[in-house]
Amino acid sequence: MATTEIVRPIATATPSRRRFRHTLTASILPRIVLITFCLIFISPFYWLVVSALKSLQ
Amino acid sequence: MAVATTTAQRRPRFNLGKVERRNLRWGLIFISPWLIGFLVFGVLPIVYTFYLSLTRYSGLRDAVFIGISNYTRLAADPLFWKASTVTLNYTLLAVPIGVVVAMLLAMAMNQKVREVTIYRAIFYLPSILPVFAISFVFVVFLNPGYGLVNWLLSSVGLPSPNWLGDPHYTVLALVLIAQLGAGQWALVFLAGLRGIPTELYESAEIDGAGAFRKFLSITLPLMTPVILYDIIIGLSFGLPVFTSAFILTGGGTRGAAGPDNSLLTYVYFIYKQAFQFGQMGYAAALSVVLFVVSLLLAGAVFRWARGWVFYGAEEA
Amino acid sequence: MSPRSGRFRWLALGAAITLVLGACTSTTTSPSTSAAAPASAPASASAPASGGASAEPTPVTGANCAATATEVKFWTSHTPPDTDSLTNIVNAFNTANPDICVKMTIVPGSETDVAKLVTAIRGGVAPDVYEADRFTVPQRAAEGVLAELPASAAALADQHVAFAWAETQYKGKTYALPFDTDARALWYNEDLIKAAGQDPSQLDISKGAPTIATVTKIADAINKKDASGNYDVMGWMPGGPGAGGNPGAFDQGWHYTWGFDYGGKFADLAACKVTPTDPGVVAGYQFMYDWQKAHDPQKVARWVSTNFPPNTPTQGFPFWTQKLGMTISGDWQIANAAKYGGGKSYKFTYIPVPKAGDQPSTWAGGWSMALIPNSKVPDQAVKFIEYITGPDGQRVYTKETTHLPTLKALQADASLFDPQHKVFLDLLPGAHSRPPLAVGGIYWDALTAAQGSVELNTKTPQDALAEVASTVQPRLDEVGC
Repeated sequence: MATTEIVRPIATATPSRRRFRHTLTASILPRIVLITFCLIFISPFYWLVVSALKSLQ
Repeated sequence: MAVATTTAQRRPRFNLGKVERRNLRWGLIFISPWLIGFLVFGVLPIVYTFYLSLTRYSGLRDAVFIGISNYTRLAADPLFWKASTVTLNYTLLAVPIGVVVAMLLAMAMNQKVREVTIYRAIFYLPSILPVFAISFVFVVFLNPGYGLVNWLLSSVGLPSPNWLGDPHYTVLALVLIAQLGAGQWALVFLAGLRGIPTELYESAEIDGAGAFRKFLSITLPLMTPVILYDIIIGLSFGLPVFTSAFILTGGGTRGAAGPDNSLLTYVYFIYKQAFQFGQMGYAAALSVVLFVVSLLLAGAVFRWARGWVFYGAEEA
Repeated sequence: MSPRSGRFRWLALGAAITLVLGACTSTTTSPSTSAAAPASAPASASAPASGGASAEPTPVTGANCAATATEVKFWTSHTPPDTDSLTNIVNAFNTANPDICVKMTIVPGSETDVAKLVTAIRGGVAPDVYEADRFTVPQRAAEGVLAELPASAAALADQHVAFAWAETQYKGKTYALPFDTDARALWYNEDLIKAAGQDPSQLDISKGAPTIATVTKIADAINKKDASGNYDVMGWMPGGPGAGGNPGAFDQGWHYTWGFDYGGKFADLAACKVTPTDPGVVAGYQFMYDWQKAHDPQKVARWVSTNFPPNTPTQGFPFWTQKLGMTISGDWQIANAAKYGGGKSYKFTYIPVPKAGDQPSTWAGGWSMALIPNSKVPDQAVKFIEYITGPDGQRVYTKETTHLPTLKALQADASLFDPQHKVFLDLLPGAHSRPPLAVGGIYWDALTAAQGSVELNTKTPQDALAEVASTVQPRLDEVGC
């Protein structure tokens, strides 16, 4: 009983800023990079589809 | 079952017992289709090319033996030197850049985000497009006025060159096209990355290593075998580069390959000599030279690799 | 060794052979083409040339032939609208000759690229008739790509104009029949000239050939640059670069055009020598060098790459999209002006000359119909060749595509030519033509590469043309005249 009470205050003392920074580096930044690369690699297909549809008109 | 011999008697190397000989015969019969295919479609054309390089041959009339004059001709031919320079420039640019791009992509594919499999699929997709399709797309993308590439460059303030009309930039256009196929290599690099034991990273982190240091001291050395593999394959596919140059220059319908012949890759030069000018013997001599140079380059790379490739974990 | 495992061995061996044979026939271990994208595609040399997976492209004629008719395969590398006219001629022949069925196929290729034809001949799937650019006929004959025509065809010599007939000969034998010819002039867009504040009547054809200086002055007034200093509209493009920034003429401002304009001679047939370093030819190249220098080669190349990328269709040609004021072009533009001109006022005059009072010059090219060796139906193929290059075929082609006929009788027939086309016809007697050499294609390519370098100002005309001589003359010595 006494130990949990000592542990809990340390856990809740983590500031939300540290959690936000962790989210940023672990999921937002990588996703930005990944999505940028995706756009580059998808562009030929996009153009192929667009010009194929254009000639179908 | 081995024939009984005394331990003092050394068996000659190929002295096979009856069973082994029968196994060998069956083995050879099983691989004979491939052997025949290899001999007929692989070895025979190479030997025939060596023979043709000593003749003058239009492809349809008879071949006339002229000794080594094709070789003396190519040494004096300014286009031969131009084609060699263009191809070497391309290879020296495309291979290292290819390694870097594949490594970056692999690290991106290795990120622990939930939908990473979707990203991996998208990165891999362009590498299954045939090169001539990508080249056609890039002819549009590289338009200096309306193209996507220049629009991107000018929106971040970088200069937007005339990719296909400026002899200094045409080889870069070829390199760009090749990078779209990096997805295939990124998968190989990814396998290499995942083969690195995580304990190494953990102990490095305990010792206080940052991300960059971890990359330099753990990832890079343990990835050197994969990097060597990519370099060798990059060389063997980079030296014969042809399709992208052919499509970018309008498919051989113009007299020269790109402004100032700056897209005249070596195999393009061979193609022109063989099929547009009817100089098959000369083209064969050019092919022999490419063959010899490729062998020498590959040998040199393997030699050089001994100095920096670390075959890793087993040698602890 | 039990009998069962022996039987299993034979079964496994049979399966292995089938698998390997199946793999062998569908892929070949051809080197791939880029550092990072090895594709196990079939031999890549033919892939870009055919652009598709099938070996035989589909014919555009012959659908309604009788089943018992003899099939004659005819390949052409032309594109619409010319192929529409060819289709009409072929259909007319098929109707008139129900026992012969000519199947016309449009194949990739160009004046100097016959890779598809050569590989087809070696592969045993060659056509019977091929439309070859006439000035390459001696070279193709020397290579063995074309077959000698029989005496009935050779006897038609005096029906065609002399220069056209000369191009179909190699070592005294006839290898093709002339099909059409053309001539070049300076086309101009009156509306653009007026909008730039210049007087288009200076260029009127009744005044004779304008000088290069006059034309350049008018063109420079039409030049418009955009905000970043790149050309938006150009007045004229005397030489190149060509589509996509590649070397060669933008339209018809070729090395031959300016070489002839400056009085140059490209070959000495008597001595069997190519003469690219002839003073007139060098002067022509010098003109292209100087014009580019005055207009910044990089900016010019950029304008071409932007407004005339590779594979631009006819309606996208900058002269029709009002991005180009004047161009050296041919008589076939009469038909195109009507279709794609957008109702603007287009006129033409003689190609500009260096000095006032110089004789105007032009040159005539054209195509021909040739027989391919080892044809299984040579008699029917020759019959078709004689028909399409005869009055019936040439009449239709002249009317529909506004090219010029090579038959003297048709040239004298006034009903075939509207007043505009008649002007080109009148240019023919004084027109130059390319020297009929057995290295025609090689020479053309070398001259084009030289033109490209000179126009980018990376080589001087003298150096570039000396290189042409040193690479082409040995080839000419090998095959002779």
